[in-house]
Amino acid sequence: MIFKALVSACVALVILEIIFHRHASFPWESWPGFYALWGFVSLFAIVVVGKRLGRGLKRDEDYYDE
Amino acid sequence: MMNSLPPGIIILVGALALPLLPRALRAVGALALPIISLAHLILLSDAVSLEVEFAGLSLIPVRVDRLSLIFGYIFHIAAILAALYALHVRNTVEHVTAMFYVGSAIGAVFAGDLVTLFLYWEITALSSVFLIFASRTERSYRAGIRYLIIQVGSGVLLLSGILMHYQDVGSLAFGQLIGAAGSLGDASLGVWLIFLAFGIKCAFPFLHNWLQDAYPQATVTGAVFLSAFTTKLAIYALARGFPGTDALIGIGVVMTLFPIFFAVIENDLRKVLCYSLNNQLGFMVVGIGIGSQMALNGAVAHAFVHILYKGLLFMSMGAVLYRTGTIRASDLGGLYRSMPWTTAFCIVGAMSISAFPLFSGFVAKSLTMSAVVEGYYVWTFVGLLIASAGVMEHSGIKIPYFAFFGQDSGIRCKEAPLHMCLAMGATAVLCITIGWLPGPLYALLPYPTAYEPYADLGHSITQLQLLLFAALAFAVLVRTGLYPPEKASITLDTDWLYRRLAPRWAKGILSSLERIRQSGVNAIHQTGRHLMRWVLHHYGAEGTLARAWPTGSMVLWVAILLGTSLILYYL
Amino acid sequence: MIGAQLPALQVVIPLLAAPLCLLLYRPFATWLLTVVTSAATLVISTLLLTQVLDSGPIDYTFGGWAAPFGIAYRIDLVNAYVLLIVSAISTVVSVFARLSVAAEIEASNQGIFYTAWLLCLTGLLGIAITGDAFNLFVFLEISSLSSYVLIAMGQDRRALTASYQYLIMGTIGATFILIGVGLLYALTGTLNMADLAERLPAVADTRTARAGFAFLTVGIALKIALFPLHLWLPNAYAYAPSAVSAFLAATATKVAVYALLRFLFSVFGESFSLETMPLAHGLAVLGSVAVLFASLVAIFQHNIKRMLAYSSVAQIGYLTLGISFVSELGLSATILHLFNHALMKGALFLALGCIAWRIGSARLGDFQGLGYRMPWTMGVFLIGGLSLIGIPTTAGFISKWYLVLAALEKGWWPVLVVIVIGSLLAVVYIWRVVEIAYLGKRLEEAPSGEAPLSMLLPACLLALANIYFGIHTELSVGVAHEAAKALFGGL
Repeated sequence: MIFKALVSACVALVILEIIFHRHASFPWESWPGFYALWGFVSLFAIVVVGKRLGRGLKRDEDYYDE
Repeated sequence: MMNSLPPGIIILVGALALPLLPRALRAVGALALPIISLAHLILLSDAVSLEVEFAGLSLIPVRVDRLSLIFGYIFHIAAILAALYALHVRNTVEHVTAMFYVGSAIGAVFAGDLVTLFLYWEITALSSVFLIFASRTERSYRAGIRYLIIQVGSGVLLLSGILMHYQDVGSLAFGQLIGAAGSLGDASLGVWLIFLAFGIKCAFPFLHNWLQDAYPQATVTGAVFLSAFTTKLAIYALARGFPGTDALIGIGVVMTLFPIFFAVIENDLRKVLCYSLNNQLGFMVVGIGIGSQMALNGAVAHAFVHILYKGLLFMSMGAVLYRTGTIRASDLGGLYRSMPWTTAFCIVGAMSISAFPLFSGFVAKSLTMSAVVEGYYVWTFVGLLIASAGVMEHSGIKIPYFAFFGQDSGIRCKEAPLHMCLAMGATAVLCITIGWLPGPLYALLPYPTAYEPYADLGHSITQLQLLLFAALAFAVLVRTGLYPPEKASITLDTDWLYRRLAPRWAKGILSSLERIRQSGVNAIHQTGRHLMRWVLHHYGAEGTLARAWPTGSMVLWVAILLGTSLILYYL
Repeated sequence: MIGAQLPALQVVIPLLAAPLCLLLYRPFATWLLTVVTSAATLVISTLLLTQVLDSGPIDYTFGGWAAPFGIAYRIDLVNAYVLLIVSAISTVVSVFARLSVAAEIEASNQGIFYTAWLLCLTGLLGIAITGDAFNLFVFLEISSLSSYVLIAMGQDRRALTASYQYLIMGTIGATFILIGVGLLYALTGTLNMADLAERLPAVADTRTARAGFAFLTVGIALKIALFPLHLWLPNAYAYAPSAVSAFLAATATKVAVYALLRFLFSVFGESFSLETMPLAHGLAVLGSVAVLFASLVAIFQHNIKRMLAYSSVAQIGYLTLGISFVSELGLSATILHLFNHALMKGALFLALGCIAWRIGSARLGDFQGLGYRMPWTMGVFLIGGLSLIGIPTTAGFISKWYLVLAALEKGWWPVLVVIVIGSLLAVVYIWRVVEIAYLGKRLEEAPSGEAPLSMLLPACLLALANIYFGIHTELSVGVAHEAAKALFGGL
């Protein structure tokens, strides 16, 4: 349910953007859906990279207590 | 007379008097102190300064201007909210040291010269460590000691830097330390050391780890105090001494980026908040690095609102820790049933820090972002955009999701105590009010601004897009099981260098040194004994060698010294 | 009328009080006499200092015999300052001494104890006040001989050995000084310092003058306990009675440093002693080594008295560093530190005296939870310790500050590093005590409660002085500056 609400909110925002243009300072900002895509991809990438990082850096909780 | 009373001194002196109150009233006293002090600060007229002569130096213990005032205000507000939150604490040491910490941090932002700044700088370090010790665990003790060493180290660097700087320019005034070109390359060694001291307190990359190491070990209330002052004092000091320093832009961008990866995998939710804190400091550092009026306004506004929402997040996580006894994401979940109010406040904090339009983070971050755009820093802009998604991930979603929603841990507890709810509620109201009506905050900023965060509706919409699509990505990751599961574990950071690597090396070096020393001592004993017999000819009758040895060796030294000086003098 | 005789009275009063003390015999009476005499010397030295501040140096000749033949006293700012330190410390510590001594020394010996105390005071004041090189030697012997007696009265059996070692070393030092003075006399035909200063430059290039200089510097270095000639000091301070440790630590080496300053700057003149002779670099090296080595050793001591004794050796390092800069700023740092170190070491040793009175030990292991058992005493110790480290708003900070400024002015970075490291090491050894006293286990059955007020108050007084002179620096810094200027100006 929450997921569906989230998806519809996202769709609504993309439509809204077409109506209210953002004042673009950099050229890519005027591409439709740029921010949406950016947000999605960034978070995806952060989590995937973080997960990789975790494999190298995770230790038991009492690692330093020995 | 009222005017010449330095801000913060009321709290410092009052803190000493707290133990005189009846035990039950000490917490109330601690709440009253920042309120009285705030009233005094408001009565203080603008642009006051106090100059004194001390040990032949002209010092300015009090300097009131717009930059110090806004930090003074927010430090007071943070102290009042944190003291309200700490109303249940019955540990006198915690109250006294917390107030010392608050008072010295306030004193520091009004310090007009470097020596006064250094004094307060050290008091913040020395007093705040007790908020970590107060957890009374072996781990918190050790973390506290590490914290203390690094903080005092920063103070030592600062003092050395101040001395050299004084030697160079003959003035102790604390104004802009970096040259007009903003290049660290042209700066003197003294200025470099001061920069480094500020950098440690500001948790620059690779100097950052004391933050994530120590704060999660503080008490429930201690962490709320800690989150507000130390690092923001460093932001103030950078804004005062190093505005427009180019290097800060790069440092800031790295600061916003690297913690977000650590935050993804960290299990201790208060530690996640520490990484988030570090990331937020990055935004402010970028603003200071750009150094335009708008950018500095952005950095200061960000510090202001950040103190509020980060405090709110630490309060909500503290409430969870207080009620459930744990703050590991792997042990928590589903708490919204038991703690609905705390959940709501936490969400307000999360939306503020993620910079949702109509929340306080948005009105501050927009300023910084606009300054980045204005200066056309393309890569900085890209970096900060990634970081914005990162903030959404760890503070906007991860904190509330794993504590209050997610998999039900089965924990059922009481709602947070009333005074905690009041403190959180008041902070949440402030976060939302500033988001709706940014005018009063903008009016307090160091430079005049006509900025309107909601003038461009498209800006708000794209910001919402960024955030909600990030949330969507999170939902997709969780649903597909790609999101890394929370496990009881810790994450290595640069503290590994001094908690693991250095001790290992030290052990090795020490044992080989001990071997060298042993053989050296043997050799000296051998030759020394021969020499001794010769020098001690006249004293030889005096008992056994064992008894004569110490006295004899002294005489030997006298002979050596006399011989050497005779030779040297004759040369 | 009396005003003109003050210089003589300064020494004569304690000198006459000493045999009187032996006659009185009863512990209380002898103690009272000691306190009154010390207080009298304090009043005189205060008067002398104000007189010097008002109207410049005072010359005084004994019996009206003019300088080359009679003994002349000459009081300028430097020795007026030292006189004040010695008499003030003696007064405060002798008040403290009654109960401390009663607990540590048999009643039948207390008369001798106070006699020796007064003689020691006489000697120390005499060294500071005299303007005659041989007379200085005589007073040095008076103070040394009596301090051997004082140290030997310590409870611990090792006090005897310590006193014996001090005796050997002290005698060698005094002999060297005598040889040095003798050589100078042979060369110039005078013992008066002012005359020496006048006649020496003409003969400065001779080997005799240089040999005399060598004997004098090494002999005084021994009395100062300059590294590596410090070996007698730790045991002497550690095993002496508590009051004696406080008295000697705060005054004896200070007076010896004064003697060094007098010979280097007034008699030989700084251009000969510190520029022609390679002494400045020697002092810098030995001073630095003293700071580092002694502070390191202090960290590993189990006996806190010994720890403080080693810390004294390190502090002497700071004093000689100040001299080695050969600058007005460095010299005033040294003179300032003479004063401030007397305050901090006095406070620390008096706190230890209170602790010894209550728990009968100065071993670190017995300090568990002492912060709660004797809060005021440990408070004094803490303030003294902070001052020793050089925390701002304590007296110790002020002298370190000037020392650092002097090092910067000279551009001697390695020395600056030494000073910083020395302070960090001080943090470590003070922290060890604080950790045990405040964070250690609280022993239930251990004796607790404060020492009596007559012991606690003097300790508190010195602790407060540490803070007072950390904030109000006009007196200490002002006089030190003027004194340094006077020394640079020659006699």
